[in-house]
Amino acid sequence: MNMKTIKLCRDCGKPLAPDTLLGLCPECMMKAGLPSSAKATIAVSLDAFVEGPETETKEFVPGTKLGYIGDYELLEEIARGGMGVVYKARQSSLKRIVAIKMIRSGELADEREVQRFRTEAEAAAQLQHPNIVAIHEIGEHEGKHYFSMDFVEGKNLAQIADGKPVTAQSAAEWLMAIAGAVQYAHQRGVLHRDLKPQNIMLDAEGRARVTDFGLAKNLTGDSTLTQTGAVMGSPSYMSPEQARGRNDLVGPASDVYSLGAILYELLTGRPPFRGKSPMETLSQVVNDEPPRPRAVNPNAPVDLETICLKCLEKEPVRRYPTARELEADLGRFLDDEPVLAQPASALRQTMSWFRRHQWVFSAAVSVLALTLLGLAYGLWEQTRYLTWLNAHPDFVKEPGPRTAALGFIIGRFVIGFFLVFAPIFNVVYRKIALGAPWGKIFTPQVYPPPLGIAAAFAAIAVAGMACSLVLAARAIQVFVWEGEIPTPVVCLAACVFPMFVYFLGILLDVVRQQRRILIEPIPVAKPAPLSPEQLAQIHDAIFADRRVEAAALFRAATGRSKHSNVLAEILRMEEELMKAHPERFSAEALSRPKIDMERSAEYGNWLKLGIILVIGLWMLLLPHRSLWEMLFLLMGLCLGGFIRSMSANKMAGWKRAYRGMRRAIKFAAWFLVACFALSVAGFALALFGLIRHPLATQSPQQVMLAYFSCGIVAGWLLVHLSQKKRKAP
Amino acid sequence: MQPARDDPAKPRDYFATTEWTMVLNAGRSNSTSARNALAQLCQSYWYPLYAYARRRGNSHEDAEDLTQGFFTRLLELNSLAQVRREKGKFRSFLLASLNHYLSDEWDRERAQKRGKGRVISLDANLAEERLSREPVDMLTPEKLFEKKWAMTLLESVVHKLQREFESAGKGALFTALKFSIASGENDESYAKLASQLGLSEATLRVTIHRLRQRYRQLLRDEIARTVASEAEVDGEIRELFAALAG
Repeated sequence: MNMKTIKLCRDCGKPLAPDTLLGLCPECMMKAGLPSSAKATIAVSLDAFVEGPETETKEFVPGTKLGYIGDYELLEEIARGGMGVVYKARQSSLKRIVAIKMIRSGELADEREVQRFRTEAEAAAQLQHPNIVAIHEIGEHEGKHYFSMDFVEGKNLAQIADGKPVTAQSAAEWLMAIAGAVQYAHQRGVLHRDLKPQNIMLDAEGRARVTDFGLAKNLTGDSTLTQTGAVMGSPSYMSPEQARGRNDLVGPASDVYSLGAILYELLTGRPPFRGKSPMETLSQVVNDEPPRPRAVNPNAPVDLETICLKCLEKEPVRRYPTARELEADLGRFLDDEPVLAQPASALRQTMSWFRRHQWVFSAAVSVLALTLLGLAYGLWEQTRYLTWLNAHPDFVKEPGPRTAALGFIIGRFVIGFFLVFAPIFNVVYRKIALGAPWGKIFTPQVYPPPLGIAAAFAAIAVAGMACSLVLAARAIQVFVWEGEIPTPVVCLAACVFPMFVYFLGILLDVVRQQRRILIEPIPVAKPAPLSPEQLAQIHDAIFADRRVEAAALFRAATGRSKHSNVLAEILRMEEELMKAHPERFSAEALSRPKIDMERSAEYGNWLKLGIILVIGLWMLLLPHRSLWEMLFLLMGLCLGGFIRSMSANKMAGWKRAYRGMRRAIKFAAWFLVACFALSVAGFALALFGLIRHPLATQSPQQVMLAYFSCGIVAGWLLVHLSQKKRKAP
Repeated sequence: MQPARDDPAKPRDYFATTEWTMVLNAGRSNSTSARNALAQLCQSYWYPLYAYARRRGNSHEDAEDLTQGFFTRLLELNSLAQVRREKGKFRSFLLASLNHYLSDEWDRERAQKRGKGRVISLDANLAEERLSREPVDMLTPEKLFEKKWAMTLLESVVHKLQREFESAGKGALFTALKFSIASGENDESYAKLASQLGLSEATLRVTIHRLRQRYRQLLRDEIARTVASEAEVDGEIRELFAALAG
């Protein structure tokens, strides 16, 4: 009974105030008031599963394999996750069992982040709630940060649900308890940010307890290594604002969303969104509506479904504003009272669907606007025609000059529009309105457009839409005056409508770019979530100079498909690793010339621009004659590109063949654009008799064959050059 | 609960005379004994209320005024009529009443002259000193109230036990054995303790057993003062334990 032990309770290990209660531990003294049998249960239920000394000594031989961290004697590894490793440990000085979570080294990059981690952990350590697993202490051991917390013996919700729905009653009760705990933490300014079934423990008494409070934020911070590795956890339970990387919008409602996702899983046995890869899931979280819980599990109560879907609303303002409201509504459900949440109306569902599918929206608006305008104009034209018919009763409807004129417009102007004007206009738009440098002209990126120029392009877009309306009017005239049907229909379907949509798209893009600059900041792309094991595999491949394997692993792990993105990521990792662990690289890898992605991308862009120019000049001597010729050229291009792609990627399987085909078609399209742009000029020169076509005297079959073989060669060359460009210095 | 034959927590004919039961039974009858009982309870448990009022953001003086004013109001003739059986525990009743008092009747009560009812003697200076000595925590007023309640209760029980031992001339024995009330001892420490106290190990075991029995008896009696029935004692212990732990 020396002074040292008086400060800490011998039984429960809590610190004691020396001048209260004669130095006795209040909790143990309170417990002593219970009869012996009841005392045992309270020890289990309320004392975070402190094991009795007998069992400890039996199952554990001190200091065997795992060793010590400070005051803690590691007993066994409980779990291993993205963030680090969790151990069961015994705190020697207090003789109690705790859980220790070691954060992976390198997770907290600099002093500032360490400080932030500590501040947050301190805030989280203040949370004392029966449904929150309390944090006791944070510390550092051999450069790794750790914190100790209550050891909860039990399963987590994911293990309990195990892919199957639980009863609605227990789902509601557990979630109510969790919501209460979350509300308690929110009131103290601590957000969880990573609520998921794996973070909810059910103790032996069946009480739900939330772990890892307030810690997710620090560990998804903006350190460079974190961006590649990331600890984001499962995106299935992440709110849309978190998935979009809008950290400025993350608040209590984000935790409410995650609570809804947990409820969803409890009701249906599956998370609301489950893509093939984390990236796919993230995109679903942002864009898709979850299937209704009752569609998955018809036994789920309607009210719980409504509560659940209210939590899962995309917009934070439509969710429960705080966890307390959710808790209250769940309480109403459990008391068989009507819940406050209302199912979303059909109108709102439709609108939110359109908001997420804007191209459908612009197409629908275009169709509607064109139809209304067309009907109005058609009626007016019809009236004019009938008036004119009164004056000329012998007039007979037959295809005449108007049809011929419209046919000419379709044939010349519109093909020119799609194959010449639109691609060039795109380049001009990127160059002037978005200010992209020539070297990055085809690299998708967002540049801040100046307001004045954007307004000019908006005006051009409006003018283009007006042009398409004029064209529509011509088509209607043809129909009314000459009774012709096919030509106006072709005109409307193939020319007017796409043109209208194209310019509407330009207009919307200009507006969106301006809105980004003026109203909301550009969202930062989220790092790909990778587990430490995946990351280690990728690193090993990089160390051994197996870039292709590293890229394949990265692609499989993140679901990213775009080759250049993946390669850029791998090269970035390589650069970081080269700085951090140069000794681990193999000699081969060190001797290999480094690839500069920036230069490589620029090289690609210049190549494309150059191709347009060179092939265009060649086309001056070989202007097109008919659509058939162009078709054969296109087929040749695709075939040539495909052959080269197949050999380049050592193809196997249809998926790769498809990828090769897509690549070939992409280059063929570029090639065609160049051909058309220059052949227009060639045609003009030929008209004035300045040049003679070398093929002018050949038969059409021979010309087509020539186009076809030229296409094959050109396609092969294009893909070949694009492969080679990666090997640039 | 199935009490064993020698279980010290065995229900006795106690609840007929416990203070809170009396208050509850008094109902509208306004009996003086019921009011006296209530006054006694209040005398025992004013400190948690004071701490609660302080945590709610009142100054030292205001909290003193409030607590005193509240008791005055509580012990007025008509207030006992509001007490119903379903109010359950004295602790809940007191907190609910204080909240009611704080929210609705604060202004009116301040204007009124004090001294109509009975006055509970509370030493606010001592309370403030006590409060300031306690470590900083982040508890809500309600949690703090519960915690202080549990502490007050335990202190009164432990002091009662200590006084019993001292009056029997065994003060030193109590000091030596007080840690054994809650914690289990192993053979080694029994032997050590026995040699320190100059007792045989068997005697020591019996002494500690009796000490524990007596303590449990006193604790349960004290809690029984504030709850409506014997069945609630265990539940109240659990709740207070949770309050202390949380």
